[in-house]
Amino acid sequence: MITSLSELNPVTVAGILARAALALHNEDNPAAAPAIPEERALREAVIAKARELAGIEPGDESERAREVLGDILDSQRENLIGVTDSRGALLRLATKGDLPSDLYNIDINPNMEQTFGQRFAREKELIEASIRSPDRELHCQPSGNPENPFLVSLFAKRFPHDRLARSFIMLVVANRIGLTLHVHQAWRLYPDVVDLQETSDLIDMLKRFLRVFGVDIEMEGQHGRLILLADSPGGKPIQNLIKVRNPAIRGQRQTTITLSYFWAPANRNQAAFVVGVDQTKYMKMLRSRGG
Amino acid sequence: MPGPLLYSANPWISHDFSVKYLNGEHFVWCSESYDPGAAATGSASASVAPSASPRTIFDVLHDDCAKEERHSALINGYRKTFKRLATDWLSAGRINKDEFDEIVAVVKGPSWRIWRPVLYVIPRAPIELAGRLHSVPYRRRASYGAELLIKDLVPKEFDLIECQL
Repeated sequence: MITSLSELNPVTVAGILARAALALHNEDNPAAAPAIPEERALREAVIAKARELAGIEPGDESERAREVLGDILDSQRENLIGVTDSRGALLRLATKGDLPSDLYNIDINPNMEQTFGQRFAREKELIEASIRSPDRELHCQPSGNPENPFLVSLFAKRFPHDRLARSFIMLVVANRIGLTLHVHQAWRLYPDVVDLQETSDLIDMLKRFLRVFGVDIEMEGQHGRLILLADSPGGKPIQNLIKVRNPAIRGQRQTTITLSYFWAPANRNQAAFVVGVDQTKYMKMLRSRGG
Repeated sequence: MPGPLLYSANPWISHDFSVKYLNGEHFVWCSESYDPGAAATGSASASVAPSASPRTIFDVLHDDCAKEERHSALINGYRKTFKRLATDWLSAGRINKDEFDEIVAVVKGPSWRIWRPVLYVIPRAPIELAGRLHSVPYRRRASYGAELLIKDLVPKEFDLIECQL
């Protein structure tokens, strides 16, 4: 540490060292411009000290010399700001929906493994690729409460195939809890089956899918193929409140209806993204596409 | 004769930080040509160094992200630069400690998506007329060709072309 810096605030000193390191590579970077009086003199002193520590000659302006000097300034700087709370920072970003999607852990609902059976491994690969490297993504913002079931993220990714009929978009819907994405829904959208022209966003894309494969459901006075948010008064179990509306479908022995929704253990009074899907129809379509 | 557009290639996270933490203010190095390597021999654009070429930067970022190249000199350089910039922003009071921690945690983390390239396509005239287009001094350039700087570009002043991996 340069002695003359010792009287300054540690964060101020860290700033001086950071700007010195930036200036080594690019003096024209506005962030390298001196921010406090006499900073140029202090900068020269810290760089001279770093040269001395590294055994680099004063006239050596080579790329390697600048790298080494920058690394020395960085190592001194990192001790000044205090510990970086990386986990806390990543959790804040996750709650806001700002965490890069390839930093999440992925947990796929076991029901999906049952549904897909031997095909699950392939479906899992597609789900993970859609989350890690989506073409489009949408992160529903909560009210600020991380337990709120509106912490839902949607991802879409194109999977092109030489045969047009086998090209599709994977749409994944997941719940953000901490640093984990809990996947409850993942649907393949084939453009010749589901109209994907000019979808406004990924919720619209989900609605288009449900136009074809959805079934009408109702819950506490709301009905439709997608209920974005529904209340469960008195803490009643949500699965007991969701009903399939069309009795004809309900009565068909061969038809499996999947009801999917998100809720948070700490907030049993709400369910989000409640959908009903005719699983029989969907799986039949998948088999016809070799999926 | 300079064209009507300027080009700047950057990692996506650079744009994200500017929007999220700096009120949308972008500091950009830019070039009069997207691909100086394809410019006519002897033209001003042809003398821009590969390290300052938007196309080269875009391609290197794309390839390094796609291959998850852990020894990428370009990405590792960006990592150091963002930590230094975040320290400057913290010491200047532009961001708080929580935001500093977020920036450092993200750039230190194992995400590849954040380094995917984006291209800014910038209409030149409004920036130049406002006196906000700065020529990089010759001694600071990577080669003879013109390199330009805009210190305070805002999102409404450019189109962003994003690359999907």
